[in-house]
This record gives sequence, C-alpha cells and structure tokens, in this order.
Amino acid sequence: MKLSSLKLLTNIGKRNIHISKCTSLFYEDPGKQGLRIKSDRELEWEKMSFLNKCSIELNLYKEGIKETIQNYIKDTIRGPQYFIYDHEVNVEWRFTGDKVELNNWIVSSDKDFNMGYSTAQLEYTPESKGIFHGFLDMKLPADGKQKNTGFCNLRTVARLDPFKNVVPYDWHAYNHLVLHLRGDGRIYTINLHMERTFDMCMYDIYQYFIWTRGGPYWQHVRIPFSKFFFTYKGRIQSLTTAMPRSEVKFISVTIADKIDGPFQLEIDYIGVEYDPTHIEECAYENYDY
Amino acid sequence: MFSIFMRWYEPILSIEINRKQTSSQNSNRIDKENDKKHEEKTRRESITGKELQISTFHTTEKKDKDTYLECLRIYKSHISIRSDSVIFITIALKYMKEFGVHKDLNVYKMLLDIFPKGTMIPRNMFQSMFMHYPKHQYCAVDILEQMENNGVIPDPEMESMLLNIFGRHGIPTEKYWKMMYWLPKFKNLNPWPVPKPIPDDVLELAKLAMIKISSVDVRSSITVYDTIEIENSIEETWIVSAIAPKQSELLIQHNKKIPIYVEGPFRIYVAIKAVDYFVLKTKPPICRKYPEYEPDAVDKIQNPYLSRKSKDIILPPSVHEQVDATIFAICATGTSSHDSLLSWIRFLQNENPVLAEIPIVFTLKTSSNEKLFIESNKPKLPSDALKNNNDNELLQG
Repeated sequence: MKLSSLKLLTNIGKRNIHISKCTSLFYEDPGKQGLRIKSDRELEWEKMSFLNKCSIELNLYKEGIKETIQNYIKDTIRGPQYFIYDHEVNVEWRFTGDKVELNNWIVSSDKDFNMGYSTAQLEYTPESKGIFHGFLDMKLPADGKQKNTGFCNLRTVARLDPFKNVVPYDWHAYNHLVLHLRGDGRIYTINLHMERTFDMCMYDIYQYFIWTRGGPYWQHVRIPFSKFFFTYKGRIQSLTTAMPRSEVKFISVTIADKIDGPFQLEIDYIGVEYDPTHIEECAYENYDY
Repeated sequence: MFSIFMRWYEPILSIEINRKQTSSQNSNRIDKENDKKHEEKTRRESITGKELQISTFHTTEKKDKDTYLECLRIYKSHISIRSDSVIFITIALKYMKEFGVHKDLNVYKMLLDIFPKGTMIPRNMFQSMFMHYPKHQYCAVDILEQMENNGVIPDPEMESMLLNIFGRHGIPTEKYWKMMYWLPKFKNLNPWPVPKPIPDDVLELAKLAMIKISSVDVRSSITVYDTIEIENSIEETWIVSAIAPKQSELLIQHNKKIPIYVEGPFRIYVAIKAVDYFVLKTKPPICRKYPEYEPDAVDKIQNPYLSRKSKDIILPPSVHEQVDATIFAICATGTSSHDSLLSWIRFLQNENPVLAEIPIVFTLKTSSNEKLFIESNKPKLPSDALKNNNDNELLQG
C-alpha cells in the first residue's frame, strides 16, 4: 500500500508541477522585460525580513487611516467643486524653485538602459523655472541588437492615495492640456500614460507633439485632448478612440527627434483648461465594428 | 507550421505530375538530369555572384545615386540569384544613407521592384492565414519602416506594386495603408514649415531661424545687412536682424541710465540644423508685479468700485516684455563675433537713434554649448557670471 501511494505521489509531481515559468500570450512582465530599474528603497525592501516588513506595513496602514480621516474632514469643509470657469487654467504641476518638487519628476534616457549614449537632467534656472536639458546622441551601441537609439524622457510620479494606491487624474470636465514653456526649436512629444486594470494595457499611451518656437520668448501651448492619438509601445494604432480623460496616471515629455545635439526645454507649468467652444471628441475617424 | 507544410507540399505535387509525364516519355529523363546538373552549376555561380553584388556597395569609390542604382541594376540582370533578394535588400537598405538616397522615393520603389510579381500572392485561405513567404514580407516591411523613419511618404504606385507582390492580405500592404492614413495627417502640422530639401546655406538657415523666433510679433520685419556698408568695419559678413515697431517704441521709453545687454550666442534649431543667435535685451522693470492680495481673507474684502486709488489705465505688457527680460531685437551673424555685433548695433542706430544715448554691455560667451543653468550642488547667481566674464565691455555712445 505504502509503495503504491508513494508511486502515485511521484507521478502527480511529474505531471502537474512545472519547474519552468508558465507564460501566456497576453502576459506583460511588470519588470518591463528587465528594463525596469529598481530604486534603492525597493532593493532595501526586498532584503528585509518578513517581520520587519509587517511592522512597516502596519505603521503605514495607521498613517493611511489618519490621512484619510484628515482628507475627509478637509473635503467636507471645502465642499464639492461645482463650477469650472471657462479658460481658467487648473495648474497641476508648477516649478517654483522648491527642491522638494524635483522628487515628483523622473528623468530617464537611453543610457540608463545601455541602449545609447544620451544624457539628460532636470534642474532650476536662475528664474526658478524647471529646465529639462541634456544631449541627444544618435550613436548606436555596438551590441548587434539595437537598431534605433536616441531618446530622453521626463515624467511625473503617479499620484498616490494614503494607502499607496495609484489615483488617476480626473480631467473629464476639461478639454485642453496647457503648457507654458520655452524650448529651443525642436519637436517634443507629450505623452499621457493611462491607468488601466490589466497588464496588457501597461503601455497604453496617448501622444501628441509640441513644436517649440525657440528664442527668448515664452510659449503658451494649448493642446485639445481630442487631438491625442493612441499608441502602444510607441507604435501608432489604427483603431483610435477618444482619450479617456479620467484615466490619466501620469504625464511625460519625450525628445526623440533624431537630431544629434544639445537640447533644453524650460517648463513653467502644466495644467488643464476648459474651452466651451471646443466640442470635438476625437479628431480621428472612429470605426465601429 | 501549416504554411511550411504547404510549401513542402507544392513541389511534391509538381514532382508527381512530372513522374506521370516521364513514365510516358522515358527518353526525356536523361535530358532532365542534365538540366538539374546545370541548375546546380548556376546556383554555385549565383552564390559567388551574390557576394559580388553585396561587395559592390562597399567597394565603389563614387557614392551617389547613379552608382547605387547601377548596383541594383547589376543585381537585377542576374535572374538566377533572385532567391537571395531578402539578403540583398537588407544590405542595400543599410547603405542608403551612405549613398545619400535615403530620402528618395524612386530608389525605394526600385528596391521593392526586386521582389517577383505574382508568385508570392497567397492562393488560398490557409496561405493567407499563416504568413506566406514571411521573410520576404518582413523585408518589405523594413523598407516601409525606413521610409517612415526618413519622412518619405509613399505614393499610389507603390500600393499597386505591393498588391502585385504580396496581394491584398499581405502585411506590407496593410502597413502601407496605415502609413497612408497617418503620415499625410502629420505632414503639414509644423507651424514653422521648412523648405524641402533643407537649405545648406547658413544665411538661408539664419533667415529661417529669425522668421521662426519673430513669429511672436506679426509686425516684426527681418532685414539682411552687409557689414561692408558701414565705415571702419573690421569684418566682412552678413547680419540677419529682426525688430518690430513695438520694440523700437520700447527702446524710446527705456530709462537711459539703465544699461542694455547684447547676450548670446544661444542655440535654435531649424529643421535638423542649429543656428546661433544674439539678443539685445534688458532686465525687466521692477514695478511690473501686481499688488498681492489674498482671496481667502474675508476681513479684507475691497470693493473695486468704491476704493479706487488711481485713475491711470494699466496697459497689459506686450509680447516683448517677458517675465525675465525685455527684448529689443534679435540677430544672427555670419561669424558670431564681437565685431559683427558692433556693426549690428550701428545698423540699428540708423533707425533707432536712441541707442546712441543708452549704455550697451556685451556679455558674450565663447560658444553656445556653455551651461545656462545652475548646477545642483553649487548655486550661482547670474550677476556673478557677468562679473567673471572677460569679454565685458562698456560702450558709451
């Protein structure tokens, strides 16, 4: 009896337990195919013991409850926001010269992923405005895999609630994205990253371009949300829909215009605006099946 | 898997048909064997031929459009080596930029023309479902991809070529349709269009740059000066200057005790090329700030109709009165040197005689690559930068 049961167990083990990783067709790796760079805090977290983790989580939970209560009181005192005035810019991100603000921004370039030699920084100008500058290098690394290089990216950090969950920006009442900036004549891309449920939609981005004027004059850019087109992993998709305005996780500015040389983009603020004269939902044809 | 099977299956079918024929005609068999030997021979020759074709791109001394097309012509003349078309095209695509034909639509068409017509069109449902001739399709997609990267928009002739090669269900044909949907949409979106091909002349580029910057004010006029016209000029170059009537008005209103600065060079990109420019500007007036008031302070609510203090009308600042500086004029010179800027000021004096009474400070840098920002560890004021600069010079008119 014993022997037969043992045999059975071994057979089950052979049939149903897989050592290799099982992958499905639609699975998207949260580590972005090994391209995601972990921060020091994340690496520290991985090294911690289970008990340590528990105690930290509990403390965070306590703080979360405290914050939610405080926020609730604040919201009830302020009351709901009924009116959104026409052409009034609701500023979401502004550079005022405070160094704490720089923690809300993440700069990356192809050099960080060993894909090229471009460099970029985010700093303050003497007038305490944010300046995103660097050098775009189109030189290919000699690894025999890479076909294209040359990008620098500046993105914001996702907004979190007291329990550290991502809260998307709710812009359904607005229809324009407003940027006050001063460029150098190059073309930049503005990306709206979507907050979606499934990992398949991790790379869903709505994009549009900013043609900067260059020169000593500041530029006021207003882009209607209807003009944004849908891309997946940087590839434009033929089936576009109107941009869902209440699903924006974070926003980013990219330079990848294939010109070797230094670039600089001064940013004052980024906000949203409601223009009653703009009725268009989507500027591109929608084909329904 | 199925597509591979189909491709195996086709020749088997053809062999079977051949067997039936040969059984009736035994005398032809010997001839066919000879033919096979001949085919093998030509194939061997073709391998050496292929290597020759590929090396032609590398060995040619003259690298221009004619030689590139000649290479394609040599390749096309050998019908036996058509099987290497994928390898040949992938290599030919890499050499395009070197030969300067990467923005030529006709050359892309010639490349696509290498593929045989009709043979790669799927003939049944299964062939089109599982990719038919995948390597060839990917290669054609690569051609279209390179066109897209270089800003070349295909034309309807290319569509008919793709339909003849891959048919209606081919991936390259689909890619073409997507390209023709999106590319014309973005083609004319640039608010500062540039002539195509982009001019190589520096003067033309400088003019374009000045047009781009001065597009903030519609009334601004752009003039090209020649330094020979001025007496005692040291250098012989051109100067492209842009000034608006509002700016000369601002110059007249300017306090003559406060100096104005010639700053630069700064960098601006026109299409894919960079141009250096200089700015004639001054610090912003101190009193421009609006009085601070708290909207939430309920005890300090003011009635604007009763408590009006002054009756002056406050005009909104013009475009040239920016937050960080008031800009009077911009220019680009041929040499970007100190002397050319001196003669620029002299040219401006002819139309704005006020400039003779205002002190002008030249704060020039050696190159536009110098940093214009504070480094994160050591903050630095702009006034310190002025003190350290050796090129400073005070000009009293």
